[in-house]
Amino acid sequence: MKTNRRILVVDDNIDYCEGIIDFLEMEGFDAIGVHDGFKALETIKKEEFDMVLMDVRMPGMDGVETFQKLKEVSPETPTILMTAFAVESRLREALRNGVFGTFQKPVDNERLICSIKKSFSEGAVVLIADDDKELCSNLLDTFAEKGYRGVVVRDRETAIRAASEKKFDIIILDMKLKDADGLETYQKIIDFRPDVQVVIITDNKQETESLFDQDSKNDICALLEKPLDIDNLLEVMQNALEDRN
Amino acid sequence: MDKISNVSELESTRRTVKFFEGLLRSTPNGVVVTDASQNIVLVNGRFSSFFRQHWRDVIETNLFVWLQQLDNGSVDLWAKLVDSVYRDGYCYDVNFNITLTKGVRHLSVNASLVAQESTEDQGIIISNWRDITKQVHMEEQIAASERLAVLGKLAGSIAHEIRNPLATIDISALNLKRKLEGADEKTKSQINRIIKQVKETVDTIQSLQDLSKLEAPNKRRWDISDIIGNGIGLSKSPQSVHFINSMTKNELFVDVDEKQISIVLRNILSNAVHAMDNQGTIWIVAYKEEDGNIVISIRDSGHGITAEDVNKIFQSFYGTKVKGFGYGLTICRMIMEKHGGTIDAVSEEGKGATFILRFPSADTEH
Repeated sequence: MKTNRRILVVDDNIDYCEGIIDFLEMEGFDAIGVHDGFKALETIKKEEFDMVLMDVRMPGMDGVETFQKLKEVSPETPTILMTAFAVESRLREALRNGVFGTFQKPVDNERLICSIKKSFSEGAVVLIADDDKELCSNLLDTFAEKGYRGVVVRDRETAIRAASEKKFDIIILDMKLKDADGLETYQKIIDFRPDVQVVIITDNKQETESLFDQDSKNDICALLEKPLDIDNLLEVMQNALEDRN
Repeated sequence: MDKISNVSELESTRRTVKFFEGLLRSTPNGVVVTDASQNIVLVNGRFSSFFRQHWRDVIETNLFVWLQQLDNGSVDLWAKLVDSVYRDGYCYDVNFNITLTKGVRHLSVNASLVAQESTEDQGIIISNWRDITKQVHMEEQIAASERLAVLGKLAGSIAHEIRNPLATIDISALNLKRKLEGADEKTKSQINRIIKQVKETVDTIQSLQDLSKLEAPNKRRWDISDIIGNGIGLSKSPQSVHFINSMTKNELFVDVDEKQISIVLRNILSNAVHAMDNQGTIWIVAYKEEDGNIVISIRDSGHGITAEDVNKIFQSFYGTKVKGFGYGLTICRMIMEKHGGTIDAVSEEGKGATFILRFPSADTEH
């Protein structure tokens, strides 16, 4: 019998904790709740969990600090922070330190489940930020065959939000995303996800190259020109994933 | 007395009179001298100009004629002033207002009893009328900024406190929805209503938090036609509103924080749509002025703004039919000020309103 995935919920708001646990159980997970950071660490030391959902503002030790300690005890366990208190700098710090994702309360529960499931994914998780429907559809199919889990977004705001809610292995970013400055979007994402591998796709390779400075050029995984050579893209992605491991 | 000293006394008196006449003409304040029956014995041009009159048409009339042209309650206020002056010898800082087509003028009056040398001089009051309209506006602006700063801090912490219980309501509603999947439509619609209202509350909280986070603008160079295009898109105006926007790409550039300016455009456009009851035309033009300033002008075909309201609309909490808290334009002014620019409104009741955004010349940045 397949055992359910186990999720630890850490929140000092007992009502919310119970509500989330009910929700997770209906989604087919096993969930237990604790109400402060110290209890959370105690529990993690004793039992295995597939995911930790943690509130940020708690008395005693807050979520960000608890996460730091958690990393030492159980570095492989992904953690998602949920917070009513949206201090961007604190969340950015947490993301840079390896938190899987951050959500603002009230949480969009569908997207929360999506993030949780992506964290269990065996294959690479890839974000495709492009408003060309056909291209995205093709890429999703191709990635599925390779065992990659793809997520498509069509504009800057959604791209940034998705990148903060899930840890992607690779982000494929179109420079001409609708109403957006490709370079600025790249810089914004890299700021809180410094380790993600980014593949930039563009209509005009020369023009795009001139926008990036030398350091950025070294950081990005590849700069590919449309129309995309899919085989080339897959090779680039595979290399990036292998390099990282 | 001999003739010579008479002549020099006369000369001296003449000089004195000329001096005082000059004083009356040149002072920026209105000066009025009234007798015990409030007849105007002496008056200068400045006072008369408050009523668009020449002093010759004001002198020897009764002050009440003019007090009645001031705002309601001015006659009683003057009566109280007179009592104070007779009792104490003076009365300072009494405020009168006059509403004109251009707006409200605020006048601050200092009055004192003229020294009584004879019974004929009894009850003669000299009053000095100072136009403090500018000062009042500035004080209102400062108060508005302070209120906004306090509101901002408060908004941030309240918003946070509310998010937690909202999250609990939301998750419980969702769980109920799942459990009641087999229930009748009426039951399901109740739950959907809860979920929908939670979303609306979250939107309100988000705008409160945006208000509290107004930071220094992060400026970059933008093509004006992109800025305007984004603004129109974000305003989500109905189809029945027709936009006339003649800006093309690569014509004009401006250094702004796009996110903040979008808030300004969004506010102005949504107010415009409201003012025209969701149908009409909005004209948007942008151009560079002689001194290099860049202007975006937004005109609507709505019902316009009255003279009285034109200044008030930028003050905190002033709202006529605008949904929400009515502080949108105050934020717009704050954002424009932080950009080193200005926002003004020009309007006539019944003839639509034009909002003018002025940005400092981009060249000064480099």
